[in-house]
Amino acid sequence: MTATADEDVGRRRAVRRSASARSLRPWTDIRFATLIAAVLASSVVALSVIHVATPSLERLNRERVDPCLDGITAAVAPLRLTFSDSVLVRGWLTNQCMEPFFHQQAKWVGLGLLAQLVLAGMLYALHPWWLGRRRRLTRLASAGNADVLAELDGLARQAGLPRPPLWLLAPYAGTHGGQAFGLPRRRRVCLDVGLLLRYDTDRAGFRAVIRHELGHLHNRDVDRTYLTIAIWWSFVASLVAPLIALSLNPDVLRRPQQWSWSGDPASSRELLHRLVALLFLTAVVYLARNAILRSRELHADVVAAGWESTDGALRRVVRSLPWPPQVSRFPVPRRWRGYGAHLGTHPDPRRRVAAMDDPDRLARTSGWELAGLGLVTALVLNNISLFVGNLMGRYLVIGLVLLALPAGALLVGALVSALRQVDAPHRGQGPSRRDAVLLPIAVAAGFATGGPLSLLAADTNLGGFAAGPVAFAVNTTLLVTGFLLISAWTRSVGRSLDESSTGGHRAVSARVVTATAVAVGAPMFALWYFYGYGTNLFMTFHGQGWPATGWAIEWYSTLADTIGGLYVYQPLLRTRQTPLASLGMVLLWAVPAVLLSRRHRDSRQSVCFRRAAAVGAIAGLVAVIAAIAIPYAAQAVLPTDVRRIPDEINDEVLLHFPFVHMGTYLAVAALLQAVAAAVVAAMATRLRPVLVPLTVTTTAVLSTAGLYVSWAVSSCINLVASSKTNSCRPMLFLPDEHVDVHLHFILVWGAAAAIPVALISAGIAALWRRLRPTPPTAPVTDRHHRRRLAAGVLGALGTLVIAAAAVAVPDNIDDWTPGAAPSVAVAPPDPGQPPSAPTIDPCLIGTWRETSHRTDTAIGFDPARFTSSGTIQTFTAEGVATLDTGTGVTETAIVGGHLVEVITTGSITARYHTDNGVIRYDDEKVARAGTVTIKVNGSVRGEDPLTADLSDERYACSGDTLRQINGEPSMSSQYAVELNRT
Amino acid sequence: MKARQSTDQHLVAEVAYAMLQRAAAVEPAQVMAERRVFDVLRAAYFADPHRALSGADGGGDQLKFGLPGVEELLTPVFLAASAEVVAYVVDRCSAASRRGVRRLLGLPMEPDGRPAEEPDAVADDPAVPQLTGEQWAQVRSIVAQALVRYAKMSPQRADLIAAAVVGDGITGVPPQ
Repeated sequence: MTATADEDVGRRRAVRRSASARSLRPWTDIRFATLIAAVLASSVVALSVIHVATPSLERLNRERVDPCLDGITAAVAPLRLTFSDSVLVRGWLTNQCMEPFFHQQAKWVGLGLLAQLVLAGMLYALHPWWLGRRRRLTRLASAGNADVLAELDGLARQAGLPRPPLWLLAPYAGTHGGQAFGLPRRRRVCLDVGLLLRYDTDRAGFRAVIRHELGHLHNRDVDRTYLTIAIWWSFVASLVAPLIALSLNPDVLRRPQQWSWSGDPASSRELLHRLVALLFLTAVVYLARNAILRSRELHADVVAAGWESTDGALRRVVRSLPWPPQVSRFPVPRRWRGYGAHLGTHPDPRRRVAAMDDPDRLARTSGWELAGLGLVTALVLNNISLFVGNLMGRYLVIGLVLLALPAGALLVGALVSALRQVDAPHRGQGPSRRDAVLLPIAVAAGFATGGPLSLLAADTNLGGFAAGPVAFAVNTTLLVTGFLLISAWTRSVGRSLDESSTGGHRAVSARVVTATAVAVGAPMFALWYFYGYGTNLFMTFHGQGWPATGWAIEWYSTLADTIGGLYVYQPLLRTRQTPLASLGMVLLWAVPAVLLSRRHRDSRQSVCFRRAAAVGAIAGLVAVIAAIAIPYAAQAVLPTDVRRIPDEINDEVLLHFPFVHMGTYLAVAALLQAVAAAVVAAMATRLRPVLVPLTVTTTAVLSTAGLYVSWAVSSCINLVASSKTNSCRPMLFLPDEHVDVHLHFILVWGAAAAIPVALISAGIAALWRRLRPTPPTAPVTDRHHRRRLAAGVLGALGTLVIAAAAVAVPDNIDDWTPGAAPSVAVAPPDPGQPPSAPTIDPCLIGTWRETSHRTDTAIGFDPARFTSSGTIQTFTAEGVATLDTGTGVTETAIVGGHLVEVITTGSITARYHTDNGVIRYDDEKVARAGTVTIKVNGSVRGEDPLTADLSDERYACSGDTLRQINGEPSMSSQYAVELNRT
Repeated sequence: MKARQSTDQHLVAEVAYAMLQRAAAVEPAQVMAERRVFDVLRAAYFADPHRALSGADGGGDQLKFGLPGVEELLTPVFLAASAEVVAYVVDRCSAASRRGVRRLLGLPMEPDGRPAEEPDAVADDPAVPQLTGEQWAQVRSIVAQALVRYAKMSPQRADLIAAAVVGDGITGVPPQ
């Protein structure tokens, strides 16, 4: 090779290094920012916990919040609301009453975060002083070292630094390393004394180490590194200690003199959960920080290697580093250091050399890194959701979705980038199937793990198993599936594009593919987060007990119930109320179609698209036939009494016949979309994640037209018995102004049905092909006019759906905008009247037996009344209340024709006082462990340990009779208890 | 490991520097490099001898070059050995004064305390009290043991450097 060729290779290598380094920088910045956000979000929870324990909050509750809550019943009583409306109004009023609390909490958290950031800033500003003191650093004296300083300044100039750093010497460091640190405009590089020796014994090695440290300065690593460390230590110093103290004694701020240890197992579990969450956070922050630092080391190596001449000294010096390290910060046995070293601040020297040889490695993201990112993002999102949600008030729903949106964009973007990076060495082949499966599972598993281990979950169970382990498993499965679909789509599109694209086009296409994946995936992630938050909407399918006509016909009743359940199933309903599903569906096939249309001489792609659209069209035509058949079938099998529109449509008769008719057709259309998707997924061998959405969209558009056909036929054959006159006009066959709503309905239901079916179908087909391999098909040529026709049809299809989505936006905004606040308010407490002091009503003192305990609630949409008796309540003069269920108390109710029993065992004690006709409880503990068992028709459906949770309640005591009713008006259930003195 | 208060740090440094100079016979490159940092290492040693001998200074690993092993530094070891040698000479030879010790060990008498480059001329002076062969052997043993203990050297290599530092001609024992 000639000298010119050598220079050329060197230049190209430098360009590659520079490109890899540039691509790494934003990725590292994001990870640093996410790590800092995780610590700050944990601080929000910690500060909220501390705020709850402050004396000022106790005063605020006593003077403003509690009186307001007590006034809700009086404010709502005159309104004569239905049960469900009453729950809504009470909820709204409760939020109003809680506003002072939320505002004080926001102020407290804001000031706390500010203090924490100030402390972090101070720690960051002091880090040069601290390092100088800790390492006893001295300035590298010019006397006797003039030649060294000249050399060092020369290297700094070569690194492109505006000014050389301050050169320091670590006299106790016998090692031959260096360290970069310092504040902006006053950077420092410290030389180990062992390194200074190398100036004379190994000049090239000396320069290599210095260049590495200058690489850190060049890459601006110093501020990010030391700021992250400073924020972590400010969190530990300012919040962890108070949090642990409060965990051990919740009253430590209010009554510091009175130490009390709750022996309640629930409290112990809560404490343990909180400590585990803290430990977990510590481990995550430490490991994530080290992972980022490792990537910075690789980055500095690559940059430094680019400044070297051809001597390769940096590789030599790095290769000579002992591994596992001889020096360990922690007292770890030598034989274990190898394992721990991989999690430390520096990568394995072999990996460092490999990164210098192949800088593209730098930009590659491993599954572990993605899992870590998912986990840290979950910590951020979960820890701030409650706090932000409280502040959002009525805008909670939209607030949660918007909060989760950037997290979704981050995770989807990271996943797609990672998939593109692992593809880099094998252009045209795409990421391996293993990577395409493992990377999305890693990011989803990381996110799913972060929820239960967040500080918020430790305090409120939100983000964890609030809705039970089954709901958690369903949530996680859906998340994994979503990321797998994104991965499959990215891989499929990427492979097809890479087959024929050139460098520049490939880069543009990659960016477009990433943007599309984020545009589709991030909103879906945000919706998923909202659906799974708290009570978990995925698990709330109301598939029975709907008030409907035609209940005497069992199959019709079942059909109506299922249709009703599907119609109000929140994940489908809410998704339908956004343009995201329609737009997303179109983007998934339209973007690849446009990208591929310009690059491929091979017409296989366009043939695939045409076939997929044809299958969708066939399914759509079948839907139209079904649309005609359904009215005739209904007329044949259903009596006229069932096929009627009630005079008044209200809560009592939601599922009237036209509604069931429409729902049935929607379900048939969804099934046909699923069948079409299954056919395409089985037939196609490439671009399946692109072709299936195209098929579903095509079927959905034709099915929407079919809906109008079905209604018109119904009208023509006088299917619905109605007081209104039926007519048969051609105009009935044309779409009306609600066509966008119907299209979205059909698309959303169809997509929900098509995804699992297409996955199963693709799996079976792949297995079949593996067992009976077929030879690859030869490239085919497609006639130009057919390609143009196909492009025109697809363009029209996409435009139609996007236009429908655009038209629906105003309705979508209305759907997501909270309703007007009810015109009811709680009378403010009289400021002239001093708050009443806590007292104990002497009438209460004694032992009481419940003679009647009645709870009105709702299970799903079914009202339920539970009744029981026998619980013993004791109130002492010392302010201790006991609730004892003896060997067990059973509450029973008939719900939707089923016998539901709730059997409670164990006892609870609490401190209590009376306050203007209200018994207030605090410091509840489980005195005797017990369980709460739920039975339906005699079979056990669930069992949980008894928890110490008593709500304040209103009471009326007279002689030997006591009556208790709800004290918290916001509760979704109302109860009344009659007791006799024993 | 703290040098005894009674010993003169200046003298210990002087003796250590002389040792370092003489070690150039067997470790020329190392000694040449360590001359540059002798003053820094001397100050560090007297401030915290244990830390200076361990070679690790902590301070967090972030943005360091890596986790290299500790380099072999002769200066802190010679300083430790020097402290023991001076203590030995003071104890055994009743040469309590600094001047006496300098004479015994054959160091030049420079007004600024810095040893001369060629101290052998002073050693030949008949007026200076002499250590016996046995005592020189003990001094050499102290140096060798320090090299083995603190620098983790093999006994053979330590003996070779100790022989170079003390002079095997004086002890009459060739290095192993």
